[in-house]
Amino acid sequence: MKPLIHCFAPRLTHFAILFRHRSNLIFPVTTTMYVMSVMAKPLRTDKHYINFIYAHFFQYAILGELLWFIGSMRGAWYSVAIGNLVRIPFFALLFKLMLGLRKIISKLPHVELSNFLVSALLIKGAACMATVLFFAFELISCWIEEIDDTTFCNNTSTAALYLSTFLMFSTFLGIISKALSRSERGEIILTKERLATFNLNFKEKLQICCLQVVAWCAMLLLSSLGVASEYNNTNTLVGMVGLVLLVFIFVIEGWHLLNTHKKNAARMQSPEFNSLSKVKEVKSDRRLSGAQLVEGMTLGGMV
Amino acid sequence: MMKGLTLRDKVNGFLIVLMGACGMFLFCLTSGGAEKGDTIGAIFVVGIIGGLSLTMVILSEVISVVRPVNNTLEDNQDGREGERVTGEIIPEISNFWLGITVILTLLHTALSAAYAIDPWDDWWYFW
Repeated sequence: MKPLIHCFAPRLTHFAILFRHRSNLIFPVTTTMYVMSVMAKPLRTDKHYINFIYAHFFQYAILGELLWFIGSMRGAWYSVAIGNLVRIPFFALLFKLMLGLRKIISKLPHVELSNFLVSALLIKGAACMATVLFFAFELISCWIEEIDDTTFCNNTSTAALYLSTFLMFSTFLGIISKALSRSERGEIILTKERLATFNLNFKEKLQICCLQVVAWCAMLLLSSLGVASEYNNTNTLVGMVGLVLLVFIFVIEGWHLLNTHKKNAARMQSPEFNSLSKVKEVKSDRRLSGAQLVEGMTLGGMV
Repeated sequence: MMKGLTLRDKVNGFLIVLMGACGMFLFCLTSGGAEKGDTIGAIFVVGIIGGLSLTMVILSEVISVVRPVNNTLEDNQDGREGERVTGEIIPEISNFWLGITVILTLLHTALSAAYAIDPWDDWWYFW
């Protein structure tokens, strides 16, 4: 048994290193999974479960990144090592955001909570991972073809990395867009007529323009996915532009979500709300959420 | 979630996912001109796994189509009706899915540990 392990384990390690350095494809997959695991049981607030969430955070975000940091330092991959360290505060921020979202989601009506868990979290998360798996296979296919000189797969790996990260953020966008109840969200559908007349407010117009640019970036990356060549700056530049815009949309959506939630909570506590409203339901300004924009633009053939 | 599913449904689901993954892998290799023995071997193995999964799913479906004829008679005798599992309202995602996500993130950490410790001290050889 020992010789067998000795024979295969280094190859597995090589494969993991190759996967990590050459593409970072593992990162979007595991991060999506991590987000799904934290949001899976929003009603569980007992001490054991909260401890489990914190332990999982420590194991995945801190221990995992520190171990990669050590490995990268040993191999004198200093830029990768710095990237590993930078990811720790990113995960801490994401974790804080998710804990806040968990609280908001736990207050959803039963039917909407159920829809959220099934549609926004599980199905979209699984779809995201399946697509990322496809990109990973594209990369493996390239490695198989260019086994003698895998530097020719750098182009594919860069494109795959950015496409996977786009998918990860668009899944997160879907999750945060559905975190409030329908009445709180005041969500409307983006019809083709509204799109044609551009009857939208400034924020929606800005989000549509950003999403359109992200879609073009994704198309360019997708078209260069199958091209085996050495590393080129174009993919990185295009990927970074798309990523920055997607993060910008994500931040706008998150900011709006928190703002709406705070406003509604304040309105519900105010004496006017309790004395005047006969039907005690929260209403929000009617708007288009990020997820609705993506869906509407997809139907309109723009994304 | 995952409630109301029989073992057969779960196995079928797993086989379909396996078949899908094999299909994706093979699809990605369609553009490449495979010449090396290892590559063709890998394609062969993945193709066999996908084909076997598909065969088992079909067999399972055939069996399930044939079997309910007997089951329905028994159910009617007991006065039972088939359970409806659609349109259920769920408060949380099942431990099964949670377990998968936790196991895969643990695997990620294990790979990180292998990378950091590198007991055979030969990872740099690859570069």
